[in-house]
Amino acid sequence: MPSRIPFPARLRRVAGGFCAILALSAALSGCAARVTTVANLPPGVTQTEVTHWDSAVSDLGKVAATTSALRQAAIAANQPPISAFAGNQGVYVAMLRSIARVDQAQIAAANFLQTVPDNWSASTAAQVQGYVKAILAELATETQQGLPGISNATAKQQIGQLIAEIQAAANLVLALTQ
Amino acid sequence: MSAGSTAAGILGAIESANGYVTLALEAAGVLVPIVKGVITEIKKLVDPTGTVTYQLLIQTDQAALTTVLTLSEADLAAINAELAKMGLPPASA
Repeated sequence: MPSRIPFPARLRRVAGGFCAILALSAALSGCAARVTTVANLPPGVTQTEVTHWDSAVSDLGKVAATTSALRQAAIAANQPPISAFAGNQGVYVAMLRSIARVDQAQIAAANFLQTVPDNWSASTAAQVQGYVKAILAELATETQQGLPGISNATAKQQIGQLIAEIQAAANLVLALTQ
Repeated sequence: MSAGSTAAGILGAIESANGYVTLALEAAGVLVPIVKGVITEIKKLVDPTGTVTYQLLIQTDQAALTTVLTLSEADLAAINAELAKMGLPPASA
């Protein structure tokens, strides 16, 4: 049972899961944005549109995989007998709700991207980047208000690193111009 | 080699190597397992100049987006379960 596993062992287990998630992320990133030329384009669809859409999918995949790792790390850090959020359960709940809002933005972005598979127009870019900005705003809140409430240094470092990795992937989407 | 035998060969090789084939998509007439086997097979389907067909790219990325949805929904379910244990309303409410 998770509650009987010593804290360092729990962190090692989470770290193992984290590595698996990173491997999945790497696999997903390999799926998208791996090509230099797209052949057999439909009339009216440009290389730039398709490759930017492909890059946005790839980067969204990295965001989702790392967000999942963040969620797992946060929940693992709160397990008894020694919670990294001891005395700060309000911070823990706020972090969970913030991660949930990131997940909701990811779902909205993925659903939208599936409806426009060959379109990286200005309006597509604006809508996807709007979801990404919402994700970045949540991550900024987690950094400013969540991390200071984590008492265990190892858990704080791990969660902080995951947040930074999500921010890096999200910023790649913002860098995609039309 | 026909597409059918190619697909069988791909799936068989991956299954014997990893014992793991759960999802697949048809790309350029070839059945490509998603995630675990997809990278190798996509690399085979992309020519040496880095060219891939539009149809293959779209199919692969649609599968990647489905994975994003699956991961995100699983996260939400786990978070809501955690909140429920604490007697709190779900995040998606």
